[in-house]
Amino acid sequence: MSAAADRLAEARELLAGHPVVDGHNDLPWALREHVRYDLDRMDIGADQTGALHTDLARLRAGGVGAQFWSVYVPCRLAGDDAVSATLEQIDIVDQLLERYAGELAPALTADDMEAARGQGRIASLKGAEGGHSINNSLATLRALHALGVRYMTLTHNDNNDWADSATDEPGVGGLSAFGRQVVREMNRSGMLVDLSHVAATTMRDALDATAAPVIFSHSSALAVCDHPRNIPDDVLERLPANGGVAMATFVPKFILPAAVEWTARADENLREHGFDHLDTTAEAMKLHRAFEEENPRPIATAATVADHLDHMREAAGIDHIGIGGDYDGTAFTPAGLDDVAGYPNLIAELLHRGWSHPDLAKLTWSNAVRALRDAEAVSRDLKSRTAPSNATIDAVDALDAP
Amino acid sequence: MAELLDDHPSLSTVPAAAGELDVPEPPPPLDETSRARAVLAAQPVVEGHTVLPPSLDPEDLPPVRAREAGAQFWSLHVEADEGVIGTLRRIDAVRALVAACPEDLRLAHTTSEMAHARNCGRVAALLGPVAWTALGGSAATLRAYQALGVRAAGLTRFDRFARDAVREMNRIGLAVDLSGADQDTVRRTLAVTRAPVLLTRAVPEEFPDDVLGLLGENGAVCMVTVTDDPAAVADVLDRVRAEAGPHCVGVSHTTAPAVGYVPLFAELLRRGWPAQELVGLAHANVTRALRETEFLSRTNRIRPAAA
Repeated sequence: MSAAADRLAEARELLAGHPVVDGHNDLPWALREHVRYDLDRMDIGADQTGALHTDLARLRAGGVGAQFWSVYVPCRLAGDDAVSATLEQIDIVDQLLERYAGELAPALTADDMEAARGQGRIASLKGAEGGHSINNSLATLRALHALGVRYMTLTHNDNNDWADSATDEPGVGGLSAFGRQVVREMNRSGMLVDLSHVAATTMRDALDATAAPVIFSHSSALAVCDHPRNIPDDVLERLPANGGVAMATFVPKFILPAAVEWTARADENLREHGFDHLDTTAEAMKLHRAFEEENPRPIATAATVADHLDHMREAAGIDHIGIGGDYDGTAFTPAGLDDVAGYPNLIAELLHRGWSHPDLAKLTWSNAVRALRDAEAVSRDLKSRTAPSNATIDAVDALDAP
Repeated sequence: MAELLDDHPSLSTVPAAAGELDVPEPPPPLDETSRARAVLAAQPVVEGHTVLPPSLDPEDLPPVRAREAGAQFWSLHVEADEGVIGTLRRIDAVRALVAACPEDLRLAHTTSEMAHARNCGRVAALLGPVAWTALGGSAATLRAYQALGVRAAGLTRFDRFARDAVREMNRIGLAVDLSGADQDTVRRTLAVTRAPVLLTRAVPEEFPDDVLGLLGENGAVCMVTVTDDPAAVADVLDRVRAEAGPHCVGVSHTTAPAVGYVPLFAELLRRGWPAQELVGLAHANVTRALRETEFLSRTNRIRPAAA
């Protein structure tokens, strides 16, 4: 008991100096879904336990020093609707920053992140989740950057016109020619290329195309848990050369093999009874609850996440790993990592496994900050040498067609 | 500045000692054209309406630096079906154009930056207005445009969204552009807005006198199109000046760029417009309206954002 308590105290102390940069938090979408962005009805300045994974007190308790807030919009939105919804997501983050200015610091650069850490505020960055947010327009990509978006996940759950998703059928076979152009324009703008959610083919194509470090804002190791949302070893092994960072996620159905298998069986059960596995109607949910009563849902823990980090450290190296919890973007979380207050439990587990303080400081803080700083340097260089691209997908991908 | 424009520049105010020198003949008073030229040389025009060329080949840059312009609103108007993306593309294109002409153009987000651009000898580029259809009925989109540097949005139909949108524009410091709005829309907007509105492409002939009076009370700026017929344009401006007030006149653009604004300004001088009002017409009125919009926004920002 006392050894565990000591480790937790040690973890908290470590996080006070090197707080967590978390790669992905879906609070903006949760605020849209729950209260239509009415911040009076869902005040993260107050305790939101039970309603949200995230509020300011728990971020603080969790030792979070920087957060990439996801400005996610679902793939069912297309064209202008996806862009408008993304602008609304960006806007709500800005409203949060204005409203909680004492706790949240707007951050556009690595220097801003360091400054926020010095002030004891939580550096707040924005990340877009899915290339559908730019609707095949590089001008829109630049507009998102101007509005403060600092990474874009190339796809979400569905393919888009120029990149394949991990959870869709193969489309263009990775990145199309226009997709490579998107990557280069992101490099030029200074927006990190995020390879979570994308197919392994897309990961490899993007690593070939990019001039700047990539990130995985919330993905874990395929070798530890065989789920398409995770990163294969050959890709992890390319991160040292690229300078990027893979930020391990906490989503149980991606990281715990038993949970992957359980989810597959639960989906199969629904399909056997004639429902789609994403069906949330009362009938389908009733069936699903009955299944869950007979088959208890497997529980992930901080040790599950640590297993991934141990492997990712082996494959990618200590300089290329980080943390991306996906809080408020997943219904279930591991025991001990139930909400954003949980990070110290993960750090305590890693201390237990013999991780040193300097290694943990890289994991929590330094690696992610460095990746952004390097991307800024690449952007400055590219801007001094190249003009913004106005390529269109029709022109580029037609030329490339066999 | 004002001294230069006073009606009778003369050396005779300096008394010469009698008999010592022959008093030189006073030079003839400047004619109106020369005086108009002098006004425009020192008081560059803020143009309310500039259109992005359809293609942006750097080899073929447009004559962006009009001789007499000190600042230009770059229209971000799009067709209804082009929406948000079309607008973002245009913003990006204007930014690219400004970046390609650093010796001529400078992006300005505030009146202070307009003045700074002018002091640096550059033409200030102001983004806007955006089309009302490009807002998609969303205040968040409005704020995104503002964050991207847009200064004005065109309101042509006063729907349910418009009332809240106008208040939000007051709050964040975006000017409401009523070009193309009918008189009913103008009346309803003026009942809501607390900041001066712009009409970057005003057609005052379409409004009855009382609407012009309302615009005058609001401090609006009617920026009229200048043609090669200075007398006709001066008639329009005379009416706006009489019904709305001299603080409400402005210039949209000229359809006769080769001639420029000198004939119009000379015509107005002949009609007895004082020099100070020509300064207002050229730039001071619209600068004042934009500055008031900025001031109001600063005092309003403490209010929460509209949904």
